[in-house]
Amino acid sequence: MGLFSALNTAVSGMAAQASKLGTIGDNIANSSTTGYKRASTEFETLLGNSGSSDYSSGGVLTDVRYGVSTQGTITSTTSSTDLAISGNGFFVGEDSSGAQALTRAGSFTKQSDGTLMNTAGYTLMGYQLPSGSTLQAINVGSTGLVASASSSATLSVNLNSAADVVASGSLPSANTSASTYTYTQQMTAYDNLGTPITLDVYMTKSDTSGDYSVSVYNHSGAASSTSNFPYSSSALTTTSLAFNASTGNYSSGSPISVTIPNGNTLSIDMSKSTMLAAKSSTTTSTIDGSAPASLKSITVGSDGTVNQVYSNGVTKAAYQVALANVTSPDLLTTISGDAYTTNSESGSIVLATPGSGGMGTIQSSSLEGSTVDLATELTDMISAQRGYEANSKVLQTASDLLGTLNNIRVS
Amino acid sequence: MGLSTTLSIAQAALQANANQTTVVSKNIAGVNDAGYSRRIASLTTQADGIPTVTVSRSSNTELFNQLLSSTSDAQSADALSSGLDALEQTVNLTSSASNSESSTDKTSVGTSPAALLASLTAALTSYAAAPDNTALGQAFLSDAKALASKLNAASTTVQTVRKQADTDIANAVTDANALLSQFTAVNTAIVTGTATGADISDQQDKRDSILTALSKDMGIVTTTNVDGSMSIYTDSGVTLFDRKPNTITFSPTTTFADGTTGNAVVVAGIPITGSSSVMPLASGSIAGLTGLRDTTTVAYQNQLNQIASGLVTVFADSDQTGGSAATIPGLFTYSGSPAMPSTGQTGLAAAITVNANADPSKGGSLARMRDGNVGDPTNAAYNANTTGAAAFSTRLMALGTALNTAQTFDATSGAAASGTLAAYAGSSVSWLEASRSTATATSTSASALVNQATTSLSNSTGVNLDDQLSQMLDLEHSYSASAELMSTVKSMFGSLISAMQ
Repeated sequence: MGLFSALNTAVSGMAAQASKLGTIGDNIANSSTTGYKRASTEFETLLGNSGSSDYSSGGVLTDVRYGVSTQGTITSTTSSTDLAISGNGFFVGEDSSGAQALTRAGSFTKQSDGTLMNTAGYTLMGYQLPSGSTLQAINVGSTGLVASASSSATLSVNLNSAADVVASGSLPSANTSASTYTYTQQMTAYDNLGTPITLDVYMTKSDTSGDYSVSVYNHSGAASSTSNFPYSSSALTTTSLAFNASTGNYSSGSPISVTIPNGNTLSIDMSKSTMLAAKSSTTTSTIDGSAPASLKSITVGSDGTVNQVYSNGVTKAAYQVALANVTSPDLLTTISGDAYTTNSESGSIVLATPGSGGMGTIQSSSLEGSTVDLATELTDMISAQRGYEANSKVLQTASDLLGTLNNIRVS
Repeated sequence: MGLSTTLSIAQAALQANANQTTVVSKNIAGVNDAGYSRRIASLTTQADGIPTVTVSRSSNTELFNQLLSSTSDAQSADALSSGLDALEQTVNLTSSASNSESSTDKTSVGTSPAALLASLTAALTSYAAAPDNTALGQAFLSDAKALASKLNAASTTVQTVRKQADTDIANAVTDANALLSQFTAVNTAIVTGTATGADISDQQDKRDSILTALSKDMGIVTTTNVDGSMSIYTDSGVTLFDRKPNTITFSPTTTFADGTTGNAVVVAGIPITGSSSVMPLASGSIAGLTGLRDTTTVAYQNQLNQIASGLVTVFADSDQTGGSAATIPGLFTYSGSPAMPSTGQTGLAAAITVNANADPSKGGSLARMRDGNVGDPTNAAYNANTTGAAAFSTRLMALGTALNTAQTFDATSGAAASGTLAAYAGSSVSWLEASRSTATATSTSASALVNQATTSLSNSTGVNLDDQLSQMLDLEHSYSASAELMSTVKSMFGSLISAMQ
């Protein structure tokens, strides 16, 4: 029993070291693979039937582990669609057959159909913004020209409290050639077609108790290039804006609604305006909407928002990258292409957006490197080599002993 | 962590170092570029100690805005000052005289209307003492002609200055429109760059240089929006650029004469200059030139007209018989004769002439000055010398007295409101000189402010060569250190691999 079991033990030891060498070989081969998680071979004893007086050797069993939850080193790249996860979670990828898998290999490139695919052929999945709840392939393809109509604006001004009161017959709302005003601003709004519409906003002091008359005209109706009044059509809107005459603070009248011809109703927020004893001036003037523009580039934020940047500088949040996680990432089933599938031991998938629910954040223009450290692998290789040698010595010794036994009959 | 990580950190460090060196070299290249702002390469360490470089641009909004406003102020002061320098040739002060204004009696210098008027007064006195002396009469007449043509020439000069100012406004408007359209492209590039996280510092430099150039034409204020775009307003608040440029329109006037009103500069229907403007431009060359064209020159022209109307009034011929013949322009006349001009009548200085009836070279007679019937020799009612005496001096004496009698002038003209004609002409010269010296002083101090603002901005955002070179030295050291690290890792791997053999 003893010698034969020693032979078997030596063989199992050699097989275990060979398996370890296999994982080391894989690790070294994948030391530069994006998103690769180091594999390791763990040993466990297998005992034989040993009595109190004799020892029957058993053997060694191996168990291959993947350090899936280990964070790889993040290195920067030049492509904005190269994504790395800093923290927990996996990208959800879909292969050509429609099967979904988890991966941390984020070297995505834009395909001709607009989807983002990594080197292993997995298409990045996410949610369509602003309110999508179905997991679908992120498509950042060019959708041609995009225009958006203006709907909200902010205009913060200071209107000189010392300005002269304009008689009601000369207010801009009267639209006569004698119309005058206290302060005027122009805002560029966009209609449904993306045509810029210049709005002439007139603010006119109508009495001494802090009331201003606000009239908004479409500049295209101006009388001539040198004089706007009288406009060919009446004001788009005329309303009053009230200030507290003693403090100069805004009191009522905002927001001002302007119906843009062939466009949305523009709401102009003027509530940050003041009426102080200083020269009339503009503090803020912003407006949304944009002229038709084509897609220029895409960016990905740390929360996984995929933004489409248009040629006129307008940024539109199009998708959000989804991250998935399981209870026990290290027990995921490894498949080719740095991808993982769930099994009964790993637990089921939980989906969340980056930065929330314990998920890590996304780093754009970055890739997660392999977790393999060459020095460790080389050291392990030495120990595997020596272990294999030692096992073969055991085998050789047992073989020699058996040979001696066989030769007893001959002599 | 392990040797592989060490290697990749060292590699990233080398890359970051190279990027920083690029920034330093860019800074050194821009050391003599006034519009260049220093780039700052800042290192940020990501997880695992991997360094990355982000490039920012040093800026100082307050100092830059101060530079813009002082540039505009300097330009408007400079425009006014150059215009007044041009007007000054109407009084022909020598440069030495203008340098010592306080000590020199300006009214007696050069060929100003005041000096010629003084000369005329002296000639009249001499002629009145000997009315039968033709040579003295001729001298008096030529002084009168010199004064009239001086007023004509001065008036022409004033209108030339106005025309030049008008042309300069047109050029400034063209320039401003070109700058605004350039701004569109830069603004879009900055907005797009901000959205994509690209390096926009070159665009920001360009934007600043456009704004600086624009501030020369007109005073501007800017606001920056959250997306990085910028809106430009005039210093009075009229929108020049809000997502798209507004067109500035101005039609130059072809001919300027006394009384011509130049056109206003209009931004999308909102006048920013001229009397109808609710929100008038306060600074920049357009504001300065408009002030010159519409205020200073008009005031000076008015003063010349006052002198002219004073002359016509003093030398007017009136009914000597106590009859009802109307008072008519005498020695000094104009195109509207025989009606008397109103005080400071528009266009009078340009039109004033010496009556041909008194000029022997034009078929007239010197004796008519003596007799007082220059305006209408055929009407005996105007003849004071009924006896035809050759030595008749009453009329000339009366003229001399009238010339030295106080008159009332337009109080709004800038010069004295009342006084003798000579005193008024003198105060006109003083007014011009005072305006000119004030404008020059303002222009000089505004230029000094621009220099100071430029220096402060350059100190704050410019490139300091010493600083850059010492940074370069640091970078060189850290580059060698990173390279050393790599070679150490290499030799460590070497020992590991040799251990296997």
